[in-house]
Amino acid sequence: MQRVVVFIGGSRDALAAVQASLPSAAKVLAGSGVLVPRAGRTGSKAAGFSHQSLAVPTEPAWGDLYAEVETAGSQSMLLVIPGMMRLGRSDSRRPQIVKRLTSLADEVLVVSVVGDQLTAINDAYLGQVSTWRTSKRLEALLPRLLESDIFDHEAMLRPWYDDPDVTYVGLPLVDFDLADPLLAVLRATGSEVTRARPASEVTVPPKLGPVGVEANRLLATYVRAQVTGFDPADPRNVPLSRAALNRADKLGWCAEPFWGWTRRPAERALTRFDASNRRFAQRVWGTAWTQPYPLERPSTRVEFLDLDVAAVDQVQRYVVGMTGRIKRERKKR
Amino acid sequence: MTRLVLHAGAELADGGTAQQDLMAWRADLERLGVVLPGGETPTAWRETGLGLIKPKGSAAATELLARAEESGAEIVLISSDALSDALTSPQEVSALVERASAAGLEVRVVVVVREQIGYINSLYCRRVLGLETARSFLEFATTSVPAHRFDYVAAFGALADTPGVELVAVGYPAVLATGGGRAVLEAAGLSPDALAALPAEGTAVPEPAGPVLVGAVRLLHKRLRRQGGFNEHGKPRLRVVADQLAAHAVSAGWDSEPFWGWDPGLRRRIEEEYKPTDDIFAQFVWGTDWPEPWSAGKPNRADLADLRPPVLRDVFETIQRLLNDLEKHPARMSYDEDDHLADADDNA
Repeated sequence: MQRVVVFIGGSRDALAAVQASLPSAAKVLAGSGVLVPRAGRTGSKAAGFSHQSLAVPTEPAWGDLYAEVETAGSQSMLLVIPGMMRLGRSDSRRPQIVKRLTSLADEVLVVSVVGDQLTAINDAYLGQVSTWRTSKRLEALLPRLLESDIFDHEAMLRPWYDDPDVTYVGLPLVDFDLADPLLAVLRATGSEVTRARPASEVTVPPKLGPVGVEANRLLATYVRAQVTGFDPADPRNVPLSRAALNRADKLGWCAEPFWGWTRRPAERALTRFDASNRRFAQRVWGTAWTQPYPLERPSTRVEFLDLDVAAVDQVQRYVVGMTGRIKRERKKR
Repeated sequence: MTRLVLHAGAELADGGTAQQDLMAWRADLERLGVVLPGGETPTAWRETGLGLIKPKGSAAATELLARAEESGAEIVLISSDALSDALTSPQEVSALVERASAAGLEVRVVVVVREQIGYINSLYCRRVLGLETARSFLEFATTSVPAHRFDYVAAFGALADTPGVELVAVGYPAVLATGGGRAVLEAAGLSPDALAALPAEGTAVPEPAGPVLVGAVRLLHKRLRRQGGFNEHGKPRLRVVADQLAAHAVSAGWDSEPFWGWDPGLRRRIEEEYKPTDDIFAQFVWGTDWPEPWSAGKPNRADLADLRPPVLRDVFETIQRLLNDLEKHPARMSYDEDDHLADADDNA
């Protein structure tokens, strides 16, 4: 095999779009000589999938992958392994994965989407709220988020672009086509694929809007009072948080986008990232950092008690109703 | 000459203590030559006061003036914060002067004034707990209804400009030092000997409610609106529900510190807005710049989602229980005394 392209994420929207389009686009890509292997897939046809299990170098799925590659005889392969973003910083596991990948193809390309950190943190916050991992406001989480390296492109991606055995490709978020995400990834790697768009529209999961954020913050607190030992990280809660998100969507709480930043904290946050962004851009793109920072974007936060009476009622019903459902599901386990 | 004294605002700047003291000391005051209106409720006193101001008058106002004349009292004193709104109109101030002079009375209006930072914070808590507003503190502080609410020149300018009315202002520190009733009586002109003859104890100025209770009552207010409670039940009954919630908050220990709604930016804005008119007002009534320092505190508002989980559950469940009680047993939710709620400014 000539090349393997590994998409490792970098933007929740881009990753969601890539995963959602994989089930229907895999056939189209196969026609262009790009294998999207079955081995290591996690997820579902409906919700999209990734090859996340391949983030563990000792996973038996690697054996399946070798076999599938041999049978397929394709010239190139696309893998989607979001776990590899964090893996870059593991001095023990990264070389193992690289070894695995280089044994499959002559060229290994690691691709991530690179955008501004305000959007990334806002999206990460939405992920935390919609799975009830936090009930705090965004600004209360900022000290911890800014202290961590997770949103620092240089810290997270340097191990990949310093690795002589792989070629790292940073795809600017502003240039990323969410309507045809796989083509965007493959084109960025120089692939000559002309068609990757699936026949039907790709449905990405909804994101909570301002009222939905308030409702789920309350739910995160209320469920902890009602369900002893509630653990938001329990994977069995995933269907419940998905159901809650769908309910929120039906209530119209995902129509308006949530933007939790106000000007001053946003400016403070960017002082944390600006210098390393510039170094990253110079090293990867050979240019200055040109990704825009959405400092002017107005906050859309609301407060539960400031909502109108109908919305307050709806939120409270949602919180009490979802908590009851979580309780019932726990009893069944 | 008998003096007609109206304690007329600023609304609840004294925390309602002056009125409570006066009602409690009625018998003592009568002996000391101070006549109070009939009735034992704020509403009755407000109506008597309004009867003196409004052109059509009222039977209660006529009765009070007749009683003052018969008794030869030194002071006829009506205390009602609600009178301040009526006295912003020059016509109504003139009507008051005319009616009083026809009865042979001189007129003094006593107002209690407080720096706006502490005042707005306290008034907001009172209004929320009285189910008169469910607005956010930010909206309440920046959208005063009526517009003159926190501007003492606008509120009391007509009194200062009308001949025949003496305007006497009592600063909030005096209320804290001597109590609301004593401070108002001193401003009304009661002699030091008479003041010393009054009972030593007075009503303490209440602390603002705690932030969790404020949040919980705002939620109760919205739930009541949603369920049509404001149409179905009278304000006194709903006030009982709010009082029961407040009593539960105390027994459950929801709050340890009082509500403080200001954050630094908003506070600066409000200080800048009112400082010039405070100084003008103080120069007029006291001949000095405004003497009282701004209140200070750390923001202490409750975001319900940030509460400890058992507290949030208790808030939700207590409100639900009270709403169920109201629906099933409305008759249990009543006070014997009269409604003493001021007219809500944003319940319409």
